[in-house]
Formats: sequence, structure tokens, C-alpha cells
Amino acid sequence: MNKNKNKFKKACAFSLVLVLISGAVYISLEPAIIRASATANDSANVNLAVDPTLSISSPADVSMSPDITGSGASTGSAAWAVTTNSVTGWKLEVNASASPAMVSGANTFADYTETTLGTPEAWSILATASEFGFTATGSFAEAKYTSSKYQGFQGTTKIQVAHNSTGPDAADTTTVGFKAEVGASKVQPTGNYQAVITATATSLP
Amino acid sequence: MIKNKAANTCSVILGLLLASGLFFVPFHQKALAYTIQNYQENVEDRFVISPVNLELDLSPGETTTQSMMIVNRLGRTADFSLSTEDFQGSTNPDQATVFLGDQSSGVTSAKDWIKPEVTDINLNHGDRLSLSVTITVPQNASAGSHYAAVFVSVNSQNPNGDKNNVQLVSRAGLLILINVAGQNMEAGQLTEFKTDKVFYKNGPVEFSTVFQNNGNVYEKATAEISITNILGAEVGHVTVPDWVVLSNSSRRQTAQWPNKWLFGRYTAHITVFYGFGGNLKLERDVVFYAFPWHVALILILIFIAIYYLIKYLASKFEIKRKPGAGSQAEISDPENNG
Repeated sequence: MNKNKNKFKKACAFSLVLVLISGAVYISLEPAIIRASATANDSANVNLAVDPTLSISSPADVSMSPDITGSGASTGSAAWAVTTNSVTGWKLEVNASASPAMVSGANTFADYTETTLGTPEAWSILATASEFGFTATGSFAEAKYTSSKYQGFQGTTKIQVAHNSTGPDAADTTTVGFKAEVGASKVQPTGNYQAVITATATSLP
Repeated sequence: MIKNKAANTCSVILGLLLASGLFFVPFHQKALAYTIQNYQENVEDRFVISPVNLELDLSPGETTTQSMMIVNRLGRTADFSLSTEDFQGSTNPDQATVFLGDQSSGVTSAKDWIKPEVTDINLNHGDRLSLSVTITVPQNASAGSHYAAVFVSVNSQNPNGDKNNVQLVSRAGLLILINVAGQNMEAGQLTEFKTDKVFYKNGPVEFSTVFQNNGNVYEKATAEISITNILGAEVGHVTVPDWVVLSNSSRRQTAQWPNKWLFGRYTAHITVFYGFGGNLKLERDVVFYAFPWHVALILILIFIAIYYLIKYLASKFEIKRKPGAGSQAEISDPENNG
């Protein structure tokens, strides 16, 4: 029994020493290994100018559904595709034309109020409130919106919803989801409520 | 008589000069006039602008005219609007630009210097609009960098009329960065140079660098990272993509060392060049460690297996020299041979 234990100890010590020796050998040979992996090239120049471009799609206006009957929630979404061949990438921001964003004459839905201003959160409003907010999804949407976290518009202040700093890529689509809700105890005046939302795409300098 | 003739000649010359002047005016205007050409563009439900940014060096009182193009690939006729807006940098290193809407950015403002040739235009699908953008730096402009964007916007289609609750506007912006000659100050510091982890199992290694621009001109920073192992030998070299940092702001840039196999202690040394012609330099080090424990574990198991195999073979076989047969070795079974 003891003999086997000793044998195993010896085996472990033997292996550890070999691993450490392997590590030391790797460290001493590392520069040569890295150099060897680099390849030698011969090149000829062929020039072609490709103009830098930036594009953004123009999705149709959004009709939110369902209509709110007394209280309840209504949702809708719009997808913007941004493309650039700029090596520095792009960003997409949204803003409303007014504060609050969703209005019908003198009546309004308040902009969604986050517990911490500017930090999206799971949708939750008071029974006495009526609010309008948004979330963002897509490959390059800001991580703060994951798991359907919502934020309110802040008037004409632009809020970044997506960016791609990895350089040229195929069209990157970001979907902005809108949500409005009237709380159970809130009496929201009847009307056709509307918001004007602007999506702005720019390259990163 | 001679006097009259001379007067007549002068009048003719003056007339010709005036006439040529009248001709020159429309020609000059034509040179600046926008053009629309229609191409067989695919319907892609988008519009395109080019270029995406301009970097200009101008003096107070100087005027320059730049070209800009808008391409309608929306698949429909649409009204395009052009407007200008100030922007500035941010102390948040992850926010490259902050657009200010109707507000002025103050000392770095340039929105009133920029005049697109048209502000509203209707374009059919496939139209390519080439227009000029005139930038005039006022005589009293302060030295340093000034920033503004030209935005091209289009309203979305309105399929249900007033029934739509959310009306959409899509905008794309051309960024214009203007360096006004004068007393420009260039000053910067590296406020961050770090790796995404301190301890790695294997590569790649992500580097993050934050450059803080304390000057009054935007900086185009370039950087190189040299990586040395515990013996001080250089084992890696990373070129960080160039990045623009607006005046009085910070901006992060990232780079990756893709090497997968790492072992031991490494030191990464970054050298950032900025300023006119990259004549200013900042340096900083970061240390990180790597131990591929998963590979080490597999190796230990292999070596243990080899150890036991050798022990087993040694207990079952022996290597014997053939009697009187030089150096040739023979493997024999000890049990059969006694």
C-alpha cells in the first residue's frame, strides 16, 4: 500500500518536474517560436480608392398595438440598419422631438422613469402612472438594454443605443422597441397619442 | 477727333470687361451648383452619405468648399433635409462624440461656419446628389479645434396616416473637424493602460488604453505595444489602431495580442505618439501572468502514464547485450529467459 503511494508520489513529482522543464523550455524558445510563425512576404502595390460612406435605413412609422382600453400596455418596434466602411465604426443614437415624447394635444404619457436616471431597467410603472419608453436589441445594441430593459427618452438629448467600433461590416440592424402603459388606477384622457423619434447614425471619428 | 476715338475704344473695352464679368458670374455659380444623376441603384431601403468625416486645417477668415454626396436607395422618392449641429468630446472615454442639437458648444462651435448648398431637396430612388459645403472661418475665430456635423435626414413612410403613434426620422451625419491656426496647445496623458485580465489561462490578451486630451486641438494618437516575457525577450508586438481624441476629452482604444500560447510573467509596454507629426510621446507598462493550467494538467496525466508505463516495462522486460555481438541490443522476456 505504502509502496504504491510512494510510487504515485514519485510519478507526480516526475510529471511536475517535466511540466516545469517544458514551461522553461517554452519561455526560452518563445521569441524564436513567435518569429517562426511570422511569414515573409513579397508584395506589389495595386491601388483602388473606395469612398468612405455611411448609410442608415428608413423604417416605416410605427403603429403601436393593441390600442389601450382604459389601462394596459401597448408595444411597437422599428429596426434601423447602419452600414459604414469607415475603419473606426459607427454609433446609433435616438432622441425624441419633445419632452415628454408621447403627446396628444395637452395630454401626455410621461417619459419612462428609471430608478437611476439613464440606467435601463425591467419595465415597471406605478398603477397611478402612464409612461412611454424604449429598449434596444441587436448584435451591436448597448449591453445595458439586454433582457428587455427599458429607458425613457430625455427630450432632444441623444441616447446611444448601439455602436460598432470593430470597423467595416455588413449592415448592422438595431431594433428599438417602444412600450407605453397606462396603470390600473390612472385615468388617461382619450386621444391619438404620437411621438416623433429621430435615429442618428454617425461614424466614430 | 483722336480724343473721341480713344474714348470710344475705352468704352468698348469697358463694355467687353463688364460683359465678360457678367458671363463669369453664372459660370462661377454653375461650378458650385449641385448636380443630381440617376443610377440604377438597388432598392436597399437606405440612403447613403459620403464622405463620413472631414479634417481641415484653416486660418481665420479662410473659406473652403468641400464636396458631399447623398444617394437615395430607399426605393421611393423622399424629401431630404440638411442641417448643421455642434458636437464635442466627452470625459467618458467610451463616448467619442456628444451632439448638441440646437445648442452651441461655445468655444469649439462651428455649426454657423458651415453652409450646405441646399437645405431641402426631393430625390427620386437612384438619385445621387453631389453638393458643395462651404466652410467659412470667421476672422475672430479662436485658435484650436472646432467641430460640427452636417446631418442629412429623411422622414419615414407613413402607411397608416395619423394612426401611427411613433413617427420616425432617420439621420446620417458627416463629421467636420476644423483646426484653426493660431496658438494651439497640445497636451495629453495616458489615464489607463490595462489588460482585460491579470491572470490568463491562454490568449488572446485584450489591451485597453485611455488617452486624455488636455489641449485645445484634437489629437490623432498612434500607439505600439511591445510585449516581453520573464526573460526580457520580446515575444509580441501589437499596433494599436489610430484613434482621434477631441480636445478636452478622453477616449478609449482597444487592441488585441492574438497569441494563444502563454506561459509565465509578461510585461506590455505601450508607446503612444501624438501631436503634430507624432512628435509627442507617452509610455506606460502593464504586467500580466499566464499559466495554461488545462494544458499542464493534461501533460501531468500524460507524464504519470508514461512513468507507470516505463515502470511496467522495466518490471517485465530487460535490455540485454548479446554475448559477443558488439553493441546490438536485444529485448528479451526476463520470465522466459530466467
